[in-house]
Amino acid sequence: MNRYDAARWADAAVRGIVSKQEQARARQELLDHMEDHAEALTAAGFSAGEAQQQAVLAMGDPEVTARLLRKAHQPLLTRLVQAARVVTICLAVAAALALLVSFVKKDNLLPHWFQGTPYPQLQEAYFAQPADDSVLLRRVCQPGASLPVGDYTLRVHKVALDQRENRWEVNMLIEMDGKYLWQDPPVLPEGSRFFVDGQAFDFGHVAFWGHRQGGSFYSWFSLELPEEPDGLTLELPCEGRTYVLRIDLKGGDVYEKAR
Amino acid sequence: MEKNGLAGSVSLLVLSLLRDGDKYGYEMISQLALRSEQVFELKEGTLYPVLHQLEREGCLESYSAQAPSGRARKYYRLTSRGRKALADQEAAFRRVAGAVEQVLRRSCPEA
Repeated sequence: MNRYDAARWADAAVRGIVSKQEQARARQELLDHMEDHAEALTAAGFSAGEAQQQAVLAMGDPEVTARLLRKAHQPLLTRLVQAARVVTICLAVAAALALLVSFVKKDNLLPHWFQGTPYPQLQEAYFAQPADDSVLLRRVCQPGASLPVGDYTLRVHKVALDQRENRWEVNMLIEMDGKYLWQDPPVLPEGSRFFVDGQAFDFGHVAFWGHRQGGSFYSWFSLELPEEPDGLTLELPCEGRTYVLRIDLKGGDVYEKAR
Repeated sequence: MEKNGLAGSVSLLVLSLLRDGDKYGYEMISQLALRSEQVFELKEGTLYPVLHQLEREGCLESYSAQAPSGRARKYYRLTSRGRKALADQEAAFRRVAGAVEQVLRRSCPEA
């Protein structure tokens, strides 16, 4: 490139302007400037050739001007798109972090119900319309009761009371929920008991079935009682304290055998 | 003139040059060198990004007028927003300059 060529200098300086219209206007303005400068130098006694050379040299590095003009003429849409990209990246990072935290500490962001309904078959057999003819009436309660016990949370998901000929059967689905996915929660703390109408029952003496899943231990207990209970009280000893949970068994969905 | 001395001050200088009347690009460059007694000698190509940015921000507006030679020439003038920006930047500069002056005065040994 001829260092002293005003047109080439101007072309290089406006190269980064996106809008052709703005580019043309800026180019003309720069050429006019160099012509004004050359005219002043000519009036001061310089030859035409020298004046043009000096005028172009005085403009400086066209690449520097090009960079600054590109920034000054950045279209609004480009700026908005750039801003949107930054926002999207930030949101994606935040979402990834949130997922990671929720994966590690599972209750933080994902509601408990989102983690899945445990044991559909169990639900079907004991907490829905009874298929067994010997069940005269079934009442299914969802107490929604929970109790923090040390590093875990005891949750009572459902209790079904089945009236049979001369007895009541109580089936209960509970969960010992650990805070973290890798935790290995116990079935229940050793020495746990429950009370029905003042009578104590050791969990070890009732039928139960359990399963570990995702940092939780689900247990199903079944016991027989002579009369319909109003409620249950659970006692769970843990780290020198006794945690007590009272479960109200009133209300719930009722399924009656057709007579 | 060291480049760093002008960093951040060019828009203040440009706004100030336009305070007392509309000007075109080469005129601003000449006035700047004259009023600063040759301390500020800007690379002339870098004036126009500043002018265009100020115009985009609404501090300046431009119009075309005929030069004595007959060709068209682009002039710039301050808008009301530009006058406010000038006042703000000038006040900020004077605060900093005053503080520097005070520090220098106290750093000098007693005569």
